Amino acid sequence: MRKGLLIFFILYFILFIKAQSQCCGAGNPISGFENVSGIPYKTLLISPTYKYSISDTYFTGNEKNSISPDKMNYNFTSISIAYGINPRLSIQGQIGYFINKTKKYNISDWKPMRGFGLGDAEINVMYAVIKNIFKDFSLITGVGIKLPIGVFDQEVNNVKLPISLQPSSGSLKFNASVFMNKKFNEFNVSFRGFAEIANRIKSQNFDYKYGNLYLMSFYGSYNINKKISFVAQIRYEYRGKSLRENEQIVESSGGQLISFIPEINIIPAKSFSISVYPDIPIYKYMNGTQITNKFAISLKLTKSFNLYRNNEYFENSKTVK
Amino acid sequence: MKKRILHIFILAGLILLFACKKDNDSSSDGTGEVEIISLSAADTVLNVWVNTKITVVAKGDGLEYSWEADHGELNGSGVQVEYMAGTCCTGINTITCTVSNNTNSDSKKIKIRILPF
Repeated sequence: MRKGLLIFFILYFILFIKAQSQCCGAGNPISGFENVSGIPYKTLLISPTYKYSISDTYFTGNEKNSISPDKMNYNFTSISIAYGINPRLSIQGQIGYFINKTKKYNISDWKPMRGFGLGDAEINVMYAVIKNIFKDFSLITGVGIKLPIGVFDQEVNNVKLPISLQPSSGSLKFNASVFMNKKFNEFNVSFRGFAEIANRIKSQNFDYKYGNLYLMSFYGSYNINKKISFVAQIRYEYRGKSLRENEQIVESSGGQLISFIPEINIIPAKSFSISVYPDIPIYKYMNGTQITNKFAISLKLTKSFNLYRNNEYFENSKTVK
Repeated sequence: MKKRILHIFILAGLILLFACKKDNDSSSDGTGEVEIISLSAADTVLNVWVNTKITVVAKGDGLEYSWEADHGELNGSGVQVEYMAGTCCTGINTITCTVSNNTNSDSKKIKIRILPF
């Protein structure tokens, strides 16, 4: 059984895993945020997610700019599969698909441009360095890789889409993360740090390197009852400036963003949960002038399968994802 | 023994035959029946979010036109497209047009400078 599962996962990762794209456009999904608290031993989690995002406001520094040459939106679906290999080690992978990644222009006669298709592949491995069940404290570290095996260099009517509309980032990325969680009865407080480094894209058409990404998230969660919980997340995001050919710095790239992400989590049935969480930017500082994300909302379903014994993931893990 | 060596040579020959492929897209001088006569832009120095028309003139039968920009955005199709770039894409950008038919192709590039915002 164990060997079969391992073969399944290896095949799955090689053949199908895809994930989110991240690009110079605003509001693309950020990787590595699924099931950050680790997965219980021999528990399999399957989580399909849908996300809608809209970006229509330009910022110069932390000031809103009145220009509006274009606006973007996307509809993104993904599926995440995670498995607890042993009590401390877990593995997680994601596949994602952009239903659309659309840019509309405020230019006469310019038609909207739409990219669509599979994004990148992502695999994360998490290890619980500290798992103290008496003090309800855990410290989990993780490393991950994002493989640019999705759709890149996409064309519409023989015209290549700009890099911001390509479904795949086109870049091999590595990430590392640390997660800490402390429980206090019905409350949970958590912290997560995340860093991602992108390799240079060197495709037939594009020569580009995304700036490094650093994230810090503070979570607080409360179990209203056994079926409903609430999570509030404050996320700080720092992205460095990008580089184009000949190491030229893209001055209007990167910046800082603070978002508020409230989440309601409902467990309507055994081993099944529904989560809804908007992504609300509360502070933006953009290098140069850039389009920024206005609003995003996600709907996530999670089904757990306990392959070890009759022990439910949702009852144990409470609310923090 | 000789037969085996002969088989190896035949196999190697077949592999080499199929491994070699003519690179039609790399030509910038025009080959065969397809040739780009000119590739021009109405403006080659632009402010951000200001668009310009880029036109290709080519000769050949049954031509298809492909366009790509290393930075910035293209809109339209065929012999004429429009180009513009936002703040992400200031600097000297390259637009490539490839004209092709069933047998041949030709490519040309044009550079457009996008001034800082």
